[in-house]
Amino acid sequence: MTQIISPDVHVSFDELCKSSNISAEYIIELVEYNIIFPIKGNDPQEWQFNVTAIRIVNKAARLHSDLEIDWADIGLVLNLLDEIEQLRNENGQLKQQLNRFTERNNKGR
Amino acid sequence: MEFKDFYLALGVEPTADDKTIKTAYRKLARLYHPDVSKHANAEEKFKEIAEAYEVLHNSEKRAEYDELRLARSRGFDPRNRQTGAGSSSNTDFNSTSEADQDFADFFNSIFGSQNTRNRQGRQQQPHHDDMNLHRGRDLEMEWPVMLEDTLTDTTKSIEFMIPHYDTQGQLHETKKTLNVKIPAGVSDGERIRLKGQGAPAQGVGVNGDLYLRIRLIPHPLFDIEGHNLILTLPLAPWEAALGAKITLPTLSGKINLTIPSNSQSGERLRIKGKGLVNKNGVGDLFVTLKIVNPAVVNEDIKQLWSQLAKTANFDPRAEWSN
Repeated sequence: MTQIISPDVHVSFDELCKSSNISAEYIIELVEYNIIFPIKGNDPQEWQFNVTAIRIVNKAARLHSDLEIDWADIGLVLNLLDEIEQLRNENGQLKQQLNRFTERNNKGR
Repeated sequence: MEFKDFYLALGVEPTADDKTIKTAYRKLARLYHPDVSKHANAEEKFKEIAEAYEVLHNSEKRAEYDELRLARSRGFDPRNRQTGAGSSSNTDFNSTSEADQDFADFFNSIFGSQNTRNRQGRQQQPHHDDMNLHRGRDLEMEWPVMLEDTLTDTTKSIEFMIPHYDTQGQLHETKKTLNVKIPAGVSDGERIRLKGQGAPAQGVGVNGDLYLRIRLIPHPLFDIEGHNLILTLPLAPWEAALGAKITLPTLSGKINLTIPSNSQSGERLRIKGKGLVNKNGVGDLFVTLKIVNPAVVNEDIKQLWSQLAKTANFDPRAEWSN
């Protein structure tokens, strides 16, 4: 067990199609709507994405098929969901800080 | 075997028209879809809704379901239907008639599992199925990581169970151990992908991938704010008033910190470069001052505070009188 596995950072266009099980045409559409964007490469066969693209593509496909959201609107929905997630995290962090600040009040009394 | 009332699942009458069913599905789906909902059992609830809609929005499936529903209400157990003369569509029936399988499973066996609404949207988006037929499943698991381990590339061992099928098609699980490099600067919720480390393919084909979802273990002292760290520092009133030299813990060892005189509770001191590592550099450590009063435990202490009260002539609520 000496082999050390390093995480994958990039995913090719072909791999993205296979991992997400979404067709090439839809992936290209997602790129056109700027929902995902290649970090390298000029045409689809050379495109390289960040691995997070797999999750975004899967989520976009679920929203499209389950909630019948148009591809054109999915970018907006994903942005809003991300923003909610960030605000929730921030709220959690602030609550945690506030707890530390108040719970130590009682010490020394 | 539990009978599932698909009309109840969507909250509609059995006489509801297609439009009503569609509206009810949309409304519930937006409420319970696991990607948008924070309900505790959103995933389970959405599955029920999707399953119900799958059948009820298709006139043929709905007619067949209605027939079964009616038969059941007349005391006819649909599980025995295979013995009925002329029954043609339920050849897979035996395989799903175990006591712990519910009616929806049974229904799937009639309509065929390929008709089950596919949450990845694969039916609506044809294409890579042929290629993926022989690809193993992707696995995802949570990986708890200590804050200290995010400062530099760290190698950790991880153990997990990997599902695979034998030649008879039976599902087994095998323990697998990997040494994985945690890249410096990983953040909470980030997923790292280990290509080809997921479940093996059934027969010939490539392995799925393994995704590790990073969960930063809460630190007993430090809180996280973006890529900065926050430390709440308790101070005695005289330390805040007169200034002090403090030995301060950081993620990478202890440092000396000078508290300026006349410090106030809630003030923040910034220590550059002692935060978390980030793709763009290193964050800072912010120290939040928290003045903690000692208990007045004897007459001497009481007198000293009284003396201070008289000498200081200080009104902390002076602003209120304006």
